[in-house]
Amino acid sequence: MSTLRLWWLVRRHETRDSRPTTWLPVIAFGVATASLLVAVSGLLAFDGRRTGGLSDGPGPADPAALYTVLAALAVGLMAVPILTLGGLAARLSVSRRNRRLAQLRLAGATSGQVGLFTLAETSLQAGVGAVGGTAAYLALIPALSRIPFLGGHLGTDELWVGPLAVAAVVAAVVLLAAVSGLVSLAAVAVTPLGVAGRVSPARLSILRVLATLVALVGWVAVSGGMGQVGIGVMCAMLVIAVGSINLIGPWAMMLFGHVVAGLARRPAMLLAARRIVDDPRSAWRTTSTMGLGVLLATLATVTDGIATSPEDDLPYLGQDMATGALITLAIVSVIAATAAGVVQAARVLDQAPQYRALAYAGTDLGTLHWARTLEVALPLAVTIALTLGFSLLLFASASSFIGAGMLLRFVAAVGLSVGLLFVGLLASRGLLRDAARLG
Amino acid sequence: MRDTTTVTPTPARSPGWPLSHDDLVADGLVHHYGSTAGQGPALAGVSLRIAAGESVAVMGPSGSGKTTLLHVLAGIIRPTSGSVGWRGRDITGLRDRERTALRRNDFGFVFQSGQLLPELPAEENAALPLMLGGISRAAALAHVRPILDGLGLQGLGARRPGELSGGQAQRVAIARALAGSPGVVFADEPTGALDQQTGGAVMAQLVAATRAHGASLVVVTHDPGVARACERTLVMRDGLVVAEHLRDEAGR
Repeated sequence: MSTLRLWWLVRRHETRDSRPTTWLPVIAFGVATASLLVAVSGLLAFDGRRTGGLSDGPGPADPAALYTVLAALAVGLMAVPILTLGGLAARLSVSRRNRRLAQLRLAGATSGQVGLFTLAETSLQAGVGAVGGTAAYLALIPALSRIPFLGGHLGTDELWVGPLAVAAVVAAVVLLAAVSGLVSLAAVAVTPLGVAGRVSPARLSILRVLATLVALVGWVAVSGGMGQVGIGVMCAMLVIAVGSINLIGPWAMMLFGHVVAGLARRPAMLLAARRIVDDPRSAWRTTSTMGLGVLLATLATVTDGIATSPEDDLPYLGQDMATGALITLAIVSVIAATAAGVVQAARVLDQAPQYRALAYAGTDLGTLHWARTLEVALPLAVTIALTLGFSLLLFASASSFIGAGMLLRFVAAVGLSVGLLFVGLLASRGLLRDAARLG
Repeated sequence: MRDTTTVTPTPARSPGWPLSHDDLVADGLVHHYGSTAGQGPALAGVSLRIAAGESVAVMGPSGSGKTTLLHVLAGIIRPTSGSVGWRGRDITGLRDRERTALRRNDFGFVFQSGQLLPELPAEENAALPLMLGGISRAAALAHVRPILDGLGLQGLGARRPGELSGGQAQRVAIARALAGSPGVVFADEPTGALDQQTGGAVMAQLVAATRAHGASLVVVTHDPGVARACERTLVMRDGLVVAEHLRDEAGR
């Protein structure tokens, strides 16, 4: 039987239980696509307005050139969460099919057919999601054009990236899905009996902490020499310093999980802590995007403070940086909420037999929901604390510009983002109710 | 096995067992799934008594109603009609929250597989029902450790389910079922995922452990070897108990 016929045979009889494994990744791919297109549209819009370079002889630099660099920085910062979301969606798509793939192999399908089957499924979901994400981006253009930049507005024609860029982004999302799907398929030990071992996780190395400290020291040294180094070097060092948080983040999660697991007295807290210890990388991935949100909220607060400073030569720079940071924060918050929803849905689907067994044994649904909420809230608390510390360290020199009003806006921005993340969590409540349904 | 064939509607009762407050008594159980039009009932009028401390196997072909019977007896689903008496109450009349509390406090469950949480070590898996019932972690662990030791799991309490053999994992599940000192343990194909030798050993420990804790045992199985480990076997077909066998003194 050809792989195409095999795929159609399986898809025809998709049950209600397996439908979330179809539409959840599609939504995630859609959000990733829309986020990437919105970010790229800003970058191309500023690039289109450039008349010169960052330093164009005597006289002030071209603002649009500086904005292009900053927009590129924003795209760079968003690249990791977008890639992470795409990877999560692909992993969800593949891992839910593990049992089916094992059954296909038992029935005689070759490993090549199974691999091709996975590639086709994941790529199709990514394609459908990417088309939906493109439609969402198009719908957002009028609203984006109302946002003030450079003392005016960006036009809708400036924000339209063009068909080639759309095709490139869609292709990139599909490629990401295919590669992530194949990597996930290779990573899971799928034998003909579909057995995957769950053993105690290895501890993460303390070298992660050392590498992060080196990156932070590097940033402090470079930022302290502002004026002697180019803005390109500054931005690169900032991206490295921010990126290094992905090294220390999982290690901090692991440590926190062990401490809380040791101290936990109640089952919901114990369960949440044990899950963090079981997979600190996953716990970090679920909430790290939110950490980027905290960083952006800090950046928005600090740069808005700079705008009111009399030292500011470019009249709109601080305000526009704050606006840009808030837009990026909004995008990142949607990505974080989607990622949290995908991860939690995957976990509920993965552990449906255990949830049902707990329901049989008399565990009420409220306790199960609370355990899941803690499973997100505990890593989130670690992430916010860690990235707040990072942010204060990264922007310490600008802290004198921050006023009380800006702090309130910072708290509101972070609060709204966290709220959105828990809305993402709510999306999987129905799945848990179904998983724990008896009879 | 001595064959004393009986047919409902008279309640199947072990001869010689005195009546007890801790007997589980079912009377006239009928249950339909979904629309009744054109479909036979899953239970067609089952009456039985499971005496305190007794072990009973429920056998029958697929679709005979044995799992439905277990679900009704355990308060997981409400029957279409009939009653289930437990400690002076008809549990079929209880609200959902009350039946949930009943399962938490009075019953224990052992399934074929997939019931242990992979992130928790064995002793925390076993102690989980107690913690969910409000007992502190330290007290719950202190309570289950002797149970785990009694099931041959000394020194394995810190291992996670993925680091245990199938038989060891099922023994952890048995410990979890017994942790709350239940009056009845319900087991649905508890040895279905195990090889014959391991399954036999696990079943023997399940029967011995429930007896030692003073609990009754109701086992749904298609395996005659599992049924032989129990004192009594009920055979179901088409939603009715059509035969009853008592294990003789030779254990046949």
